Amino acid sequence: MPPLRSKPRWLIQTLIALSCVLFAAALAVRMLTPGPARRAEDRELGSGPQVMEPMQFLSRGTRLRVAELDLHVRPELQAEWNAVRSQLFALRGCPRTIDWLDGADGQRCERLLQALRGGNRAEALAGLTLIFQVARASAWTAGLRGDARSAERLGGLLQEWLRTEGIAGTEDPVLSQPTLAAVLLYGRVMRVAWRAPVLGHVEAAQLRARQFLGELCGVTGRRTAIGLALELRFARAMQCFAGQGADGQDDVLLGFDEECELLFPGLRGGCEDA
Amino acid sequence: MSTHTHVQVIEEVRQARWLVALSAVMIGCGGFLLGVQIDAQGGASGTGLTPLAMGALVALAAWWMRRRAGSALPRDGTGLFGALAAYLGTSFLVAGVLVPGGPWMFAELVLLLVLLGRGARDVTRPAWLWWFVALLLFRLWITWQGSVHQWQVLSVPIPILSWIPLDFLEPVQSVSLGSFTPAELAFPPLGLDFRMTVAIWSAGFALCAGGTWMIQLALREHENDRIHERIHTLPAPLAQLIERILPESEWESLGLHGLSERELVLAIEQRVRERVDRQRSIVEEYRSLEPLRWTNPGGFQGSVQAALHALEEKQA
Repeated sequence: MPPLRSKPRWLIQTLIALSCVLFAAALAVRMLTPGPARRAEDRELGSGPQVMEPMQFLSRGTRLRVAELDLHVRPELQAEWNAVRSQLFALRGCPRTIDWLDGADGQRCERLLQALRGGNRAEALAGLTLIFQVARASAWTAGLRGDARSAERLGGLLQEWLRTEGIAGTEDPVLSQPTLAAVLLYGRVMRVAWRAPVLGHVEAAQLRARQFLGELCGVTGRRTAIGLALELRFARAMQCFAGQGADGQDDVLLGFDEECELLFPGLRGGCEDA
Repeated sequence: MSTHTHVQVIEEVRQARWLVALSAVMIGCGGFLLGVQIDAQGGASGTGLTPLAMGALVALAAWWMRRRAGSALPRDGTGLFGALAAYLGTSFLVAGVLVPGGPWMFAELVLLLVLLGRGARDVTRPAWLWWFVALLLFRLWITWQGSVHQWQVLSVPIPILSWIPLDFLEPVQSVSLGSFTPAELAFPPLGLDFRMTVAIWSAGFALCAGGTWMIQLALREHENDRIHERIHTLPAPLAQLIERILPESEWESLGLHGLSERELVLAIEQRVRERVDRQRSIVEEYRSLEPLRWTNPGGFQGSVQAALHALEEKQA
């Protein structure tokens, strides 16, 4: 008789033991409770500049603390930073954003923002503080003339900041919340630009915002860290942006606008919050 | 000359034990995967014990229905382990496709019990698999809806009203069907990573369904091995004759599965006696029929044929 091929007994016993372990694991895994959210701002600050309560630098009370950032700005930028900061926080009269940015002070501010990019976390926060102050002290609403240029210009500043600091900022304990705030303000500003005309919309503004936010948040593919953080904290923004809002599907920035209104109630582009 | 005894031969050719063990591993893996969900930050959490309890109830009802229909009881260690694994497999499978809580879960539960009551008792049959697939798709659909913060099964826009672009009409522009809450779906507080979770559940469902189907076949084969072993305690030629009278493909339908050893021996004796008696009666009846009488045309030709047939019988 030819030799018969059979599975060794130990292998069968091993499989049976393994299946018993798996049965127990299948029961136990159902009792696993979900862990708490791991938020970037809860992490240790580690090395680098220590800035407490960074959202205060974006709020109405910025002027009370903005001088603290002087310590963290590079010495070669110190003079420029002091000058621009002083000018911007002394700005009165609510000029149109585009007019101010096209002026000497505005151009100086843009150059400083460019220089602050790629620096440490405090310099990134300093740059964002300046942008938020521009948004507070200048007018970027469309007005009766339906002018979208100011909003688009401010959106451009925010977009550049987010492009260079946003990805890393989400994981940084100091910059995580300011980054999300910047995304919300960007959404609001670009929505203002989109809705600027009395009749119809500026589709280019929304298309640019969709493209950029899609890339930043990863809506079309797997969510990025910013997308996840936004979804956790500002679900309405991501819900509308993913086209799942109950409202008109065209208005994908509506959620950002609503969340921004809750976070910065007076920041509507008319210097109400200045 | 062979060096194997018949017991060794049976032991070696038995593959059912191997299949039972392998299927149980598949069920265990599937059950594990069906019990996991991934939250938005990539953390794992459990899907809860409630659906498993419901699954266990449905599996118990299915087992009870099958018992009433005369299904087999396990008679040895392998059979018992296989039956337990099959029960767990059905429980995991049902738990994996049921909505984790709320009215939808009870609606699905009622549907499954109605199906059981209407005679679809063997949950490993293809018809059941389609039901399970349909329920799984429904669960995935509402999980998707929940993952994008849409807390209803369907939102149907009302014609004409939904075409008017006025914000204040929004509440009456669509009708929500089948609303639910995150708690009913046992969602983690951080929300669900839909893609990862669906991949895990689908793999778990495939393993669990495959394992449950395979283990039923393996248990059937294992019972056949047991009957084969009992028959081969007889001398080899007699055992082969018994297996020709009672072919293996008919053992389950003859009610030999799940019988105790004593009942099995008695049942085999009785079935063999019945079949031999029936065979004998058929042969006797055939012989008494005189087939020539049906084909004999009568007359001269018929008389000659009858004379030749008589001569043939006399010579025989």
